Amino acid sequence: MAFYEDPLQITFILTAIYIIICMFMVITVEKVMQSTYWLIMMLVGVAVTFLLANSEIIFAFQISIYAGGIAVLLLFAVLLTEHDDAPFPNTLSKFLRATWMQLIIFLVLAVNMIVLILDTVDKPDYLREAGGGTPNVLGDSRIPVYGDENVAGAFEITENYTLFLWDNFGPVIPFLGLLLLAALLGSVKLAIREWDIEELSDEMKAQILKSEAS
Amino acid sequence: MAFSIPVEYFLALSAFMFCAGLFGVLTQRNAVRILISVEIMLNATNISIMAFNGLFGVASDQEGWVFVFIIIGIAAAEAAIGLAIFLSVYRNFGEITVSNIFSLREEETS
Repeated sequence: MAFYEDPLQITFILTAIYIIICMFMVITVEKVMQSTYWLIMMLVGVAVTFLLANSEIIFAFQISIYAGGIAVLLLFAVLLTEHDDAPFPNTLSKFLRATWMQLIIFLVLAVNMIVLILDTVDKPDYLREAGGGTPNVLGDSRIPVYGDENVAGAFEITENYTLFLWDNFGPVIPFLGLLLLAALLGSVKLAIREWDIEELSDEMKAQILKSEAS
Repeated sequence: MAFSIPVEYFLALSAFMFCAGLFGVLTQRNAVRILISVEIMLNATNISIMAFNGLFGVASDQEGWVFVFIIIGIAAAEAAIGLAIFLSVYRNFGEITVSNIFSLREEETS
């Protein structure tokens, strides 16, 4: 089926264009703060691609953890530090002179990977490995989420996922908890600051001396 | 009629995002921008894992989701540690431009 006859494919292509525009702005925009805002918009676009791949639970994770938590951390990192805004030189010739090697790496790698992917997915061996069918299972799994006949599909998929995660990959959850706890403690240790009473304002100094005396 | 998205769409988008993130990591000098580019690369990986999960998922078609779950958790930890390191570096150096921070660099012997 041609892509313009399939609403799912059109949606995906529009989302991909949106992601690429946001990504371009993330890398090239002048202010770091604006770059972070564009990153948040890009992360929402990535979440939509997860939704198109039939996984509401990962969509929810992406929105809440990535576009919510991690983006706020990055915003704080931008707010608490100083930046020289201007990622690239203003003129094209200076830009090319400064980044020609990286540009070549980017172009060669991107073209190479995309050609390789398009070449590989057409091979018969690959199709056989993928289960004999055409490799287009995305958006069309056994439990259709957006089908008219099965409105509760989304809940079923999420329930299946949580049961699957808990039964087969049980240790993953405490592992992630430990990892995040270690990251929390490590970042507190790194960011904590030994302060000197002489650095404080007179008002604060008087308050602390008063509390020590009492 | 069953609608579906070919897997190569996902993979091509993922490859392009990964390379653009790599370009950002290689060209930017601000540490926060480098971390943002790394986030783009991690997202590219997530998209390709979702695509391959649709192809090769065996038990419940959801193995790939577990990996995406782990990667999102690890990215959160990485961002937290990154923020703390940036604060520490900023306090000691007054800036977070990575090309100007070279106290770990070996001294040149002439």
